[in-house]
Amino acid sequence: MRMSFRTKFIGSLFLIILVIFTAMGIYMTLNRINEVRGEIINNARMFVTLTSDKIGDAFVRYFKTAFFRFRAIVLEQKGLNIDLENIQIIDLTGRIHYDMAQYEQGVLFVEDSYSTDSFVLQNIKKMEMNIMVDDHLCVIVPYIDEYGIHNYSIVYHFTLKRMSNEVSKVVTGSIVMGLSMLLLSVVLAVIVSNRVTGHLAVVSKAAKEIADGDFNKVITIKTGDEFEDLSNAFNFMTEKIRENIRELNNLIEELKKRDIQKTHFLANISHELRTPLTASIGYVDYIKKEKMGALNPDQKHSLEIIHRNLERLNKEIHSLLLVSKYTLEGIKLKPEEIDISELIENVINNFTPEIRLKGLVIKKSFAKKELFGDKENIRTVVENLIGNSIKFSAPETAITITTDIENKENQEYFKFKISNYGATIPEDQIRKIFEPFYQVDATTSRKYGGIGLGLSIAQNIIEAHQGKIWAESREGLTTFYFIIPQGG
Amino acid sequence: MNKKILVIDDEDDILDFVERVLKDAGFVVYKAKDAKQGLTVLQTEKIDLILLDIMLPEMDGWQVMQMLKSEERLKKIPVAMLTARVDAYDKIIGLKEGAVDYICKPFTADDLLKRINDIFLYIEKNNL
Repeated sequence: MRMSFRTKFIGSLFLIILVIFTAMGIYMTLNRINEVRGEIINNARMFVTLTSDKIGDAFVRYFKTAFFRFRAIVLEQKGLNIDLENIQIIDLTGRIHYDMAQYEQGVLFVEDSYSTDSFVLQNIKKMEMNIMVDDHLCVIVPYIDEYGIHNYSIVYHFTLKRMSNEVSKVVTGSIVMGLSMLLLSVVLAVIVSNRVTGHLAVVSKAAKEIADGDFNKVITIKTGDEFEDLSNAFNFMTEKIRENIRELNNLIEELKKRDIQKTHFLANISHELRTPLTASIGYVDYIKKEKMGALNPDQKHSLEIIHRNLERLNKEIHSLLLVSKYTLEGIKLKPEEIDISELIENVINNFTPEIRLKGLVIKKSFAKKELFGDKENIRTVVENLIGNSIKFSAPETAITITTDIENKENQEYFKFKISNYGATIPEDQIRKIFEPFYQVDATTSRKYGGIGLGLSIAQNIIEAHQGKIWAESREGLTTFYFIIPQGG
Repeated sequence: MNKKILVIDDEDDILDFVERVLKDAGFVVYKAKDAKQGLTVLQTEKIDLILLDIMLPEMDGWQVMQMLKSEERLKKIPVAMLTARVDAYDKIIGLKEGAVDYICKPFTADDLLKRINDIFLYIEKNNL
């Protein structure tokens, strides 16, 4: 479970305060117990010292002759101490002569009742004051009469109730105080954690914005504490990122510029190459057609070869020019309704010599005869695809060309498909063949000729038509497809 | 009377080839290596057709075209542009403003002659 910083902060603060207050409560209680106990004992000691002689005298003088006078004196003394519970007068054998509590409760004094209290019995004969603290405070004081004889001891019983009262007061007090402190601290914790999480929220929001690409984000936390440090560190980081991105952008710009320069160079070079070709092809064609005199068969054959090679050169240069032009300017389309079956037939006708030479069979099936697109460009694509198929076909095999309509997501597509038998294009290279200057392997260009621009140009053109071109190749059957959206 | 054709192209070899083909076909050919030489020819000769290369030094084919069209005496002479196809490809519409046709390089003798014959036929038909 994910706990927020806030929850953890408040929770731990709560626990710490609870522990502190419990400990403080226990300490204060113990302290107070000792205090009250000491107080009670001191009070008792003082009280006993002050009253024992008076009570002893009264007992000797009035107990038997004027009991009520004696009782009045005793009660008067008792009224002076709130903790006092009982006063007993006991002789040295342990016999109780007077028990205030019993008498005051209406129990008539029983002759010959003896104290069973072991502390009393042990200390009754001693000549000094003895104090015992148990569940109550018991003080034994010897009474020495005017003749110096110790016949009786006075036993005082003090209650410790005041102590437990005090304790419960202290406990209640510390609980009340603890709870109010706890409440206060939770409120404080919420405020502090709000402040913390508030600042953190600012930082995390900024981080998200930066992640979304807004690198100009600057956060301002002016608290003069770690949050300010954090925000400063954060701003420093984004500044660094900004710098790096600036550098990267500059680099990209530079690369783009160089790429454009290179493409310009390519365009110029192609153009320069084309000019000498014009005069060459022109003249070769002119001589070959015997416009400058009759030729013998050898001469004619040689010129045929020269002409073919010049045409090939011309085609490659044309591809280079096209690629550089598309790269620099993009493709401008002039779409129209094209009779695609006628266009395909026408292209196939132009390839007749190559088709015958390899002994290929072309199977055609045109389910869709029209296509809305740029005629010149579509022709280039079809020429490239058919030219490739012928080039890579094994001898004496068949090439299948079909056109069709395909409906996908309420959109009608024109679909062109061409298959041939020959080498299989490896899976990992089937996408790369559409990259400019790509040949499946270095030997391809030597074996089949061409500089690998045809498919790149085809892809440019099909994508300019919002279409898609792709290839599949398995077990020697290679198929190229393109689709172009129609209508609307 | 034989038609007079002025060819403006900075490439000697192309001028040579075009001259050869056109002469063999019975045209009178004037050659110019740049706009200036072409204008000199135009001042003295009554030319029936100008073959104009687009890529010329100093003043390119488009500028030459504008100049021709701005002169009362020259603006009726039909002009066919000679061009490396890719350059002219998207400028065909622009061409319509002044040129009667464009001939893509590289061209064969047959291409050239057929285009020129078409141009003259078109001019005749429309009495231009």
